[in-house]
Amino acid sequence: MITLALSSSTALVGVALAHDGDVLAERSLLTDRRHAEEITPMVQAVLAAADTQLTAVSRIVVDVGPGRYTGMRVGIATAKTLAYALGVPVATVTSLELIGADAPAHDGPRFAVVDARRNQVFAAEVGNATTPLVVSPAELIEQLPRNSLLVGDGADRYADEFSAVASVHRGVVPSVAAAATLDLAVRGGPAALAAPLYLREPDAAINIKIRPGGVGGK
Amino acid sequence: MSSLVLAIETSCDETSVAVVADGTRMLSNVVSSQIEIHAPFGGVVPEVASRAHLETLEPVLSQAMSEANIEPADLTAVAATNGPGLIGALLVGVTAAKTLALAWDKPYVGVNHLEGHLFAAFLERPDLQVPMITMLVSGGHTSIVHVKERGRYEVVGSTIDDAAGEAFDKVARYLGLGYPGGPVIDRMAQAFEGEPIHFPRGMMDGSLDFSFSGMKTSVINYVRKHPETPNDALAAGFQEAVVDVLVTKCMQAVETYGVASACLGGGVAANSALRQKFAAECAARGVDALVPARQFCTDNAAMIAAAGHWRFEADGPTALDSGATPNLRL
Ligand SMILES: [Zn+2]
Repeated sequence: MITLALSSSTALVGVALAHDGDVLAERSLLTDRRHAEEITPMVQAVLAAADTQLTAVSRIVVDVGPGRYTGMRVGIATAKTLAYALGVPVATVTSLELIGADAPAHDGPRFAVVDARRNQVFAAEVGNATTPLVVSPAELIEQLPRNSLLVGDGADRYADEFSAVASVHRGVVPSVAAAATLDLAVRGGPAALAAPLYLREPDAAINIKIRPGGVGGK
Repeated sequence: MSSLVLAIETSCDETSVAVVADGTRMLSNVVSSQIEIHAPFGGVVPEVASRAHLETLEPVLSQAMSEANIEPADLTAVAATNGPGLIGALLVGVTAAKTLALAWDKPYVGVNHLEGHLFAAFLERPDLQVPMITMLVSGGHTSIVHVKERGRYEVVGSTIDDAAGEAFDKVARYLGLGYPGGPVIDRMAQAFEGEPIHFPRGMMDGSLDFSFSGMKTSVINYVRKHPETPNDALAAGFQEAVVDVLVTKCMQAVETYGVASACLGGGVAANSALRQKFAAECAARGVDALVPARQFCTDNAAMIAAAGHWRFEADGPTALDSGATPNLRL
């Protein structure tokens, strides 16, 4: 089975192609805002590098976040459109799982932490499939078990605060190769079900709850 | 062999996919409007729009393909609006179009939304003669464009503050009439039988530019002075003033540039008073007027496919490593 995996919910844009458990080709790039520009040529590049036709792909795996809204949508729009054009299923993984996949071994609990901006992070324990937390760094610190290891761009950003109570291993990004090779037998589904893991309401929707009567347009 | 272009439009609050043959013959044009989603906010909320586009795009795409009754292999190119518009919203459509182009092995074409509005005319009147004057009026744009030939444009007038549709929204919000403001004010004005309140026109001394902010302020000032005035007299008066300014300047442009045809476009072109006055003033000057069907006034992908057909013939494909430009100009 040939799997095409996409991840663009963090600063990383990545595409990988795998045959069962073997990665055939992978491309990734750290970029602040070129997710939409880079992702389509990357799909083209991994196919060319593996000398594989797109029609040979039988499953898409996409990172649905949590993370950057625009990046998540770029990845999911690519996945859903490919699934529509090729008639194949889409499986979803979270950015936190893909970060956890590249976390180093550690003698204690490990947490994947993604920067959520506005002084918040998304966090989940590696290997524990609960809904990710949306908390401030201070709130996360209060909930961390002793001897924890933190990885991900959220851990990097607040490394000074976290280092006082936990270990921080810097520079871990989502592993798109892990997305392409994870055993996802149970997760395949119709493309329509691939939805972003926003975990927060849009700004205006938050405001309207606070200020009934509505917020203006521009 | 004839050309078949599939286009995606997601620049603001309509998710639309269309298939057009030869730049003029519409095979399908599916439009999913988000108006109801944004109504509680009194305006389009960018993040809410982007989220809705991602959910709606695939069903709209499937429907447009099945209504057109074509196979992907029949297509000449896949187009998408790549600006101007809301960046998060634009990128959903651009990404989907680039992906389709890759999957179907077809060229991708990025299309300027404003050029799309200009090409809406040729969907109804492929024979329409250029040069012409097109007035684009919507919630996001207000401009008078001298279309010298297809692909060669000069913006000869534009708003210096609010867009025309924005002015309708702001006045409607002030009067407590709801969102979107244009249709509500239009309906009230049509039903009103008395004497509309006269508001100053803000003609800006012979320039082809517009200013609607002052007109909104004069409505507010009038209500403060005369709080008993019924809303329909205000709505009718405001609409009359806006339409008067729009048509007067458009006719001024028609005369200045000596064109034989003129056209309306954009969401505000659905306004019944504007349509009537524009048609009447064009007729009085012997100018060939196109008042497009309402489905071609509001944002739609058919106009993007029409412009995309022409752009592809003129410039060839757009690179797959291109993105979107929120403030793209004509
Ligand atoms: Zn428009």
